[in-house]
Amino acid sequence: MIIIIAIGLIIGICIGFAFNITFPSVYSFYITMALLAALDSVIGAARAHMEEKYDSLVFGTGFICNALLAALLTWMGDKLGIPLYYAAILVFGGRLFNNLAVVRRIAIDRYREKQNEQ
Amino acid sequence: MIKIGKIEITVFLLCIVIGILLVIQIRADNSGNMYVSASEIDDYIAQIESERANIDAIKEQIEESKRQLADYEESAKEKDNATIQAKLTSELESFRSMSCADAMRGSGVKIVVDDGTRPLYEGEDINDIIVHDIDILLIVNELKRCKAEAIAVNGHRITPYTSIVCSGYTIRMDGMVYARPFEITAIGDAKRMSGALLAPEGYGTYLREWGVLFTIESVENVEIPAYSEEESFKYAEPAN
Repeated sequence: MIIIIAIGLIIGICIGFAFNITFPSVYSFYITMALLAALDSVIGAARAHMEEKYDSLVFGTGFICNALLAALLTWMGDKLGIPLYYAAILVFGGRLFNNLAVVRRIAIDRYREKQNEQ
Repeated sequence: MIKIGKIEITVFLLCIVIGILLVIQIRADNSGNMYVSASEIDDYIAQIESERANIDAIKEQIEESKRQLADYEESAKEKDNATIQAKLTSELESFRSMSCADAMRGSGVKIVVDDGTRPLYEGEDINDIIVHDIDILLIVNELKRCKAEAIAVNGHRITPYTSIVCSGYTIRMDGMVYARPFEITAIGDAKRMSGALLAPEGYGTYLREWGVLFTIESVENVEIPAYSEEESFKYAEPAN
C-alpha cells in the first residue's frame, strides 16, 4: 500500500511538473479543498483497507460528495464574505488525524501479534 | 509482490491526483492571495471610488487649464484686447476673493465666545473661565478644517497671514487689539462646522465644560468684511 501511494505521488508530481498546468489564482481555495478531500480519501481508504471493510461504492461516492460539499462551502463563503471553508478544512483535517491514528494502531497491533508468535 | 485490487487502483489514481494538485498549488503564485472579508472589500471599493473621483477631478482641472490656455492664445492671436481684459478682470476677481481682499457674503455660522460668569471655586484660577488667544486660534483652526471659506473675528478678516496672540485680557490680531466678547463669523457648511465644534470631543464642548460661554448658531446670510490693511511682500518674491 505504501509503495503504491509513493509511486502514485511521484507520478502525479512528475505529471504536474511536465504539463505545467496553470489556473487563475481565484480558484486557489478550490484547489486547496480538492487537495484536502483527496488526501482525506486516501487516508480513509488506507484505514478501510487495514480494517478489511473497503467498499469501492462507499469510497467513490464519499470522495465525490465531500469534494462537492467542500467546493460549495468555499463558494458560498466567497459570496457571503464568511470563511465557511474553515468548516471543511477542520473536518477534513480532523478526519485525517483520526484515520491516521486508526491506521497506526492497527499496524502496531499487527506488529505485536507477529512478535508474540515468534 | 503487491497484489493489485480495486482499492490499490483507486488509491493509486488518487495519489496521482494529489501529486498534480500539490504541484499546481505550490507553483501558483498565491503570495497575495488571502481571505478578504466583505467589510474589507467594502473599504477597498470606497477607497478605489474616491481615488477615481480624485483622478477625474484632476483630469477636469487639466482640461479646464488647457481650455483657458487655448482661449488666451486665441485672444492673443486676434489681438482682441476687450476679451483679454474681461478674462483678466474675472481672474482678478477670483484672486481678490481668495486673498481676502473682497467682502464676502453667504450662509454660515455665528459663534460668540465670552468669559464665564460662574462663581469660582475656592482657590481656582480666574484663567479657567476667561477666553484666551489660544481658544480663538483653535476655533478658527477648527473652522478652517471644516472648509470655512471666509472667517472673521470681531469683524477682523482672518487671512492666511493672520496671527492671533495674547495681549493681557485682550487678544491681538495682526497688530490690532480686540476685547471680549468675541464674535466669530464664518461662511461655509454650517452643519459641519457646528457639528465639529459641538461634538463630545469638540472644542466648543470643551470650553463649556470649563465654564466659558460658547454659543454657535447658523445664519442664513452673513457678510464678512474684506481685510482692511495693505499687504505686500518685503522679502519673498515669485520664484518663477
